[in-house]
Amino acid sequence: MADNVIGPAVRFESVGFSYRSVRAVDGIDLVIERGQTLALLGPNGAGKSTTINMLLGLLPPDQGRIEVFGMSPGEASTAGRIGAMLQETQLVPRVTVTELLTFVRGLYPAPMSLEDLLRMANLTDIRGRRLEKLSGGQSQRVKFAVAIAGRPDLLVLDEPTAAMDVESRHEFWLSMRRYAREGHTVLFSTHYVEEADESADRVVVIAGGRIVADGSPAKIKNSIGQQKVGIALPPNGSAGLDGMPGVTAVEVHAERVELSTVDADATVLALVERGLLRDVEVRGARLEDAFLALTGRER
Amino acid sequence: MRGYLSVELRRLVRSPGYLSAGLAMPLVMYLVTTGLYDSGQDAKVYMMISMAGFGAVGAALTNGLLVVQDRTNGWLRQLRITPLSAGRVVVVRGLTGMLVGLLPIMAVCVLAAAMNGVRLPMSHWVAVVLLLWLGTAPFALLGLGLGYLVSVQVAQPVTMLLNLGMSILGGLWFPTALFPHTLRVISRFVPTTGYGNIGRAIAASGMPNMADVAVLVAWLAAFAALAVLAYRRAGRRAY
Repeated sequence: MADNVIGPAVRFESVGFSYRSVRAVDGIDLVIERGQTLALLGPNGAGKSTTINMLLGLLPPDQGRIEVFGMSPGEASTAGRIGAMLQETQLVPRVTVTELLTFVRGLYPAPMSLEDLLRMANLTDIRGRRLEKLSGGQSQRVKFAVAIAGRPDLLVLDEPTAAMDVESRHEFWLSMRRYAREGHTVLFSTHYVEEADESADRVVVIAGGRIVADGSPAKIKNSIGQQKVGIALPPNGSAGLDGMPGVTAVEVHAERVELSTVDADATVLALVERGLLRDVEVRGARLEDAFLALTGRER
Repeated sequence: MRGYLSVELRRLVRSPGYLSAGLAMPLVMYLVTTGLYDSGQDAKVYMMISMAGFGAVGAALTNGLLVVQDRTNGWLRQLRITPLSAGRVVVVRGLTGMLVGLLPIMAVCVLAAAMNGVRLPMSHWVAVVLLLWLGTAPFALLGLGLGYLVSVQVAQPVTMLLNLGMSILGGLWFPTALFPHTLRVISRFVPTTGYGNIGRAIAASGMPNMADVAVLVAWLAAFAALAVLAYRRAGRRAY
């Protein structure tokens, strides 16, 4: 249980795992420094959840080793160093928000105060509510509160926003970043490039159970490829379009303008606001295709 | 561990349907079997032990169904990444199943005393309730073993078959004296037989028969082994 105070938060050494004949994780080497917020980005079936389950000690790797703060994942859990939001879990029924959080806090050596916890996860208004009566977004907030209740040094979030609407997502990432700013290490998985881009300081892309890219969000976004948004040429020409959100290049072809963008959603929204959205056409590699391009394989 | 027990007990207390379903069957069966024909005092005591035990064994077994639910909804996985040890989770889960079993034991005994005029020395009452309760430990372990082992689809029918099979073969519904010879021999080794006999012997004389205790202890060891194996297997499947 020796905790090496200067070592990294997480270390994977050639970790692999197979479900019968499927090689879900195929030799992952990864070091996560303390205080880093890392996004594990990849399409469905890339091996994100398997990687996370091994990191949490829920699944023993069949190859390689994993260390969390210099300990085995199981030891790190027992020591209260890990908190996590798992995928595909439901909250237990017939218990209130406060009762659940009080119980979970009580398991950890140095938990957050109940009031801070309720505030941080935006649950103060529904603290007395039973868990089975919560909406999807509220449930996710409770799961987030469960994950941070013990003030864990490593927070792991497996596709935390999968069931959320746009507004809940926004609030959720604010809470997550607030927690990360307190110096905690955070690892989250997602298949949305934007989420990785906005909330992580490092993005690791995995596909086919292997790490295919690792770097800053900006670098990853560029290597994943850009999208094109085409519109009818505005009456007053193409001036100013190059400064719009996400846009990296502007080309004019006769009566049409083609914008290269790293964030087609943001670009289209901005076009709507300016009333320029006419005959729109959005093209670009689907994320899955981009991932496959990164791995150098054909579909 | 106290925090976890308190959460699980709250969940139980807020499931009145689950609790009353486990109470209704033994109470109704006790009233019907003792009221149907003019049964004597001995039969009233006999059926009191049988029905109290039937209710308690049922509660200990169906507790396994709650474990299946906790496994499938991810609650057990969430607990695994907290500092709460796996052993404590198992102990608390088994204990809650046994505590539910205390309800039919008490209810049937109260009914027997109030409606059927069953009278026992106070020390025998205490011993009967206590041993009927402690005797559910092997069944609670069997319930846990099933809870960790079987799938959602199979859990319900398997639990029901075991509950009915053991109740009938163990003489909780009809006295084993009415069984044909072969069935009576088999019944001798069924855990519910030892369990029921211990309760009856205590009600009659305050002392259990050692052969019955031996049968029950053997089953306790067997079901504990099953529960441990099932739990380890469930762990490897990451639930």
